[in-house]
Amino acid sequence: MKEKEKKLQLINEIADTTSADQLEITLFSKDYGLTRFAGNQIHQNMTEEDSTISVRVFHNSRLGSCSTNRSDRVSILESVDKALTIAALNDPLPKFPGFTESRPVPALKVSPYYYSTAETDAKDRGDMVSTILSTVKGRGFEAAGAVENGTYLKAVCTNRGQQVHQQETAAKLNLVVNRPGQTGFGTGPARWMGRDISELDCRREALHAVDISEKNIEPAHIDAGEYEVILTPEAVGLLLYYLSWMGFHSRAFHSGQSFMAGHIGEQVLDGKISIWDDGLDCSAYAMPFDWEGVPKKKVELVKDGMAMGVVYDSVTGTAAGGASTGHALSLLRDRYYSSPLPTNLFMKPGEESLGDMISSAKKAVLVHSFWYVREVHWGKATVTGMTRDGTFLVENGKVTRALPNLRFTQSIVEALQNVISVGRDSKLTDQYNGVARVPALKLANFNFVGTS
Amino acid sequence: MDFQLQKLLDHAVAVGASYADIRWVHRSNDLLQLWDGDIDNISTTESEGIGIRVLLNGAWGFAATNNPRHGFRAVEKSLETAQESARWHNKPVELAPVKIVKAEWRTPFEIDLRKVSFRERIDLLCEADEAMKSVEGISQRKASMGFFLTDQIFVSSEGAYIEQNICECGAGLTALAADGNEVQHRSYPSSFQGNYASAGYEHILSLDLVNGGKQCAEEAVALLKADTCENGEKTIILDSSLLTLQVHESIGHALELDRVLGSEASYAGTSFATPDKIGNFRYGSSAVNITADNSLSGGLASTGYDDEGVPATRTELIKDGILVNYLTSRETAAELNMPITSSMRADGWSRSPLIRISNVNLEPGDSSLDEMIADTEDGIFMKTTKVYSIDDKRLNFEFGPEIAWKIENGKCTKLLKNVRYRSITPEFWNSCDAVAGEDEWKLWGVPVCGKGEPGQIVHVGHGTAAARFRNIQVEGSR
Repeated sequence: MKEKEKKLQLINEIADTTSADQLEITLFSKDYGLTRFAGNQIHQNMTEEDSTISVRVFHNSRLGSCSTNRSDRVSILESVDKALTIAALNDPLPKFPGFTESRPVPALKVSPYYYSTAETDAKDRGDMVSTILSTVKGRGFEAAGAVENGTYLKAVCTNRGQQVHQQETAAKLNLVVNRPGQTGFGTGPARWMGRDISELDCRREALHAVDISEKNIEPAHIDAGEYEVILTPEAVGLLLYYLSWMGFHSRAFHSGQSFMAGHIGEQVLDGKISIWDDGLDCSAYAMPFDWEGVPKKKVELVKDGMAMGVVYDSVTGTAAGGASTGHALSLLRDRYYSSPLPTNLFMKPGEESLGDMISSAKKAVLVHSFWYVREVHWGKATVTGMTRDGTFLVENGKVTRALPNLRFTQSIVEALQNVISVGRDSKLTDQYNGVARVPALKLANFNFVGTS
Repeated sequence: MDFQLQKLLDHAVAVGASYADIRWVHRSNDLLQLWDGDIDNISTTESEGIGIRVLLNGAWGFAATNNPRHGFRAVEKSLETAQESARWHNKPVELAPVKIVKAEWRTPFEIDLRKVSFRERIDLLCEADEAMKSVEGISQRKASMGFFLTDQIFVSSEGAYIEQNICECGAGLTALAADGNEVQHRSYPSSFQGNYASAGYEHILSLDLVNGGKQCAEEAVALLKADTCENGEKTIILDSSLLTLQVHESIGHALELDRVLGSEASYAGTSFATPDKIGNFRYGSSAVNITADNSLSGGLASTGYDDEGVPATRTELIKDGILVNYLTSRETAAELNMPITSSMRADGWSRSPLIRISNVNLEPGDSSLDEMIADTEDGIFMKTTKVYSIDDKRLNFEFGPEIAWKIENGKCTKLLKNVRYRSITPEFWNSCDAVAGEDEWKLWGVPVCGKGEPGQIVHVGHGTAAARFRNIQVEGSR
């Protein structure tokens, strides 16, 4: 029996034979590698294997949980006992809806597992990095970045009959390029992510980054103020993530923090904007269940500018008088983030290419990346942050000058209330919790407040 | 511990590593979290494994495994990765010498975290939550407490054997008020999950969560009706907790030498504080003295040794306003012939150590908060970090407090909300004209500092006292 089947059989057996009133076991295994480089040298190269079992019990109406990365039967049973001990100390939770009962999860249309990615080793990553560094060096530039790949097994099983799992692969390139000796200045980026690493064209990505860096020279001053902006998908992805974190989940919505609170069914954004979460769409990182084993479905968040709804996990869904929408995060998440959250965000593409957006602009700022975006005011999803890795002035339809990195402080809601056009091509972008597939955007007003 | 560390180390050297170290780490983290009085998360997370770091052909490799049966496989993988690193490596890595020791170190504590029951912790958090709940107008409450127990062994091919038992804990509260038009929140004792320390349960008891919970809830509600301030250049006074993140972002990260040398260029960014500035760059006014000190008792980065086996030490980074040192590793210290600052740390067994902020402190001055306020005609006093963003060279930043007060003629008068301030790092620190003294100096612990690819979260400490800054751009409007 293969390692994967052994692990799944073990957690299913333990769930089936537990003495706990209710038991939920989640499994997250990974086999991961990364090669990192800077200044045209590899300075970090690593592999990691790990497998963590998280156990939650709901016993005598009390909740307790325990996680361990020892995956043998004895260690998992010890974790169940610890979770029961913790639960016994807890207060009863009469509102807790219980763990997920047996429910079918939809089949994905495309496998999330690619042998090409799973079998990529340190030598293969070394070859990819060699392609990148040779290409960049050949153009007289230097590069910093990382190539990574991993195989992951995710499973949820409950003693109420839910048994779901997914084996998947993921790969990523993060690259910035600059002139030799000018690390961090005049940079150009390239970022790629996908399930199938064979789709990563390292030479093309390296040339893309060099092309941007080549133009990113002798930045001109611009005054602080409101500008029309053209945002690449990478820049849009981060803004959408913050809009989601500040607005599209139940905890923000029901506490009154979200810009959507009290406005469901109303026009809150420009009519060109539609946003949804869909864990079943394989053009993002699809997974047909959440970390409570609840089946995923498409959830409309904003449709043609109108507020439609937010996402829930089982606790917040029940508290709101409804049910989970399938958006519980893992117990192992970064504690900064509360569950639930959208993890597979989409923004509806439009009709213009990035080139069209530039050629039709009289005066605009073109932003390739945003950096260190943080919350300022929740009510209108106002954030502050910097541009990075390529900010340019567009005049009379052409990119005319490089600009320094610019600080912005801007309500994302207000920015998305005046959309000039939406890009026709969408790109998968990596976010703190999950991914976002988004197009470029051209916005009428964006507030820059200073430069580095 | 089922890993045979010495055998694995010997194997790495036998098959060609010029240097190798192995860290076995066992972590046990307890988290307790209440949302609106309900226990949302009550859990223990245990993680154990080894990370093997090797130098082969002058280049680094690293492999980590949680599986005791895969130790030798991990050694092989670390060597394979080093072999690949050597393909694009101009200069062999050299390590600055360090005294080789066999040592043990334990976090000093009064009340053993292992002996504090979940029941006792739940009761304390529930009491603090009730205190927030008792304030009319609060729309959401969050309370959390964390215990982190780490046992680790470091062995190196140079002969080091270091065993450490580190215990850390902390707690925090957040009260949120919303009235349909405005949303405000207050945290206690500080933002970023509260205040953490390397200590026993006596640290949590010292936080006075119940009284703090009531006060922060009252302030959150009061902020709904607070004034906003006008935009413009002002004198600002930052409290100790707000200065924590100011030091962290604009000094601590800026002085990590791996970042300065470009290793983080694609992710966490670089630094304006380039090596040519050492010894001659005026980073701040003469009131600004910054140290890195992981030997401090109670600091969240306090240990006996870092993850390269370097003993804890105190290093002056900025002296009388002049940049004098960086946070270094053995590799970067050798590269620039600088002191080793015991700053290499890894996020558990599965990550290769990086240069990290340890306890980076703004040393006390000779003023006091009361004196600074009394001596300010027109200014703003700000408390607790709410907004924080800085550029990828650690220059241009925007910060903001959860709560502020207008200072008029030497007194705090009106309550202010939604205040932010912006500056450029050296301009900001050069505008510092007063720092409060030792009796107001406080060591804060932040359990969420991120860096590196793959991402690594480590715990950091910052000792600060309130300080005053002149002519800083303040924004009060949305």
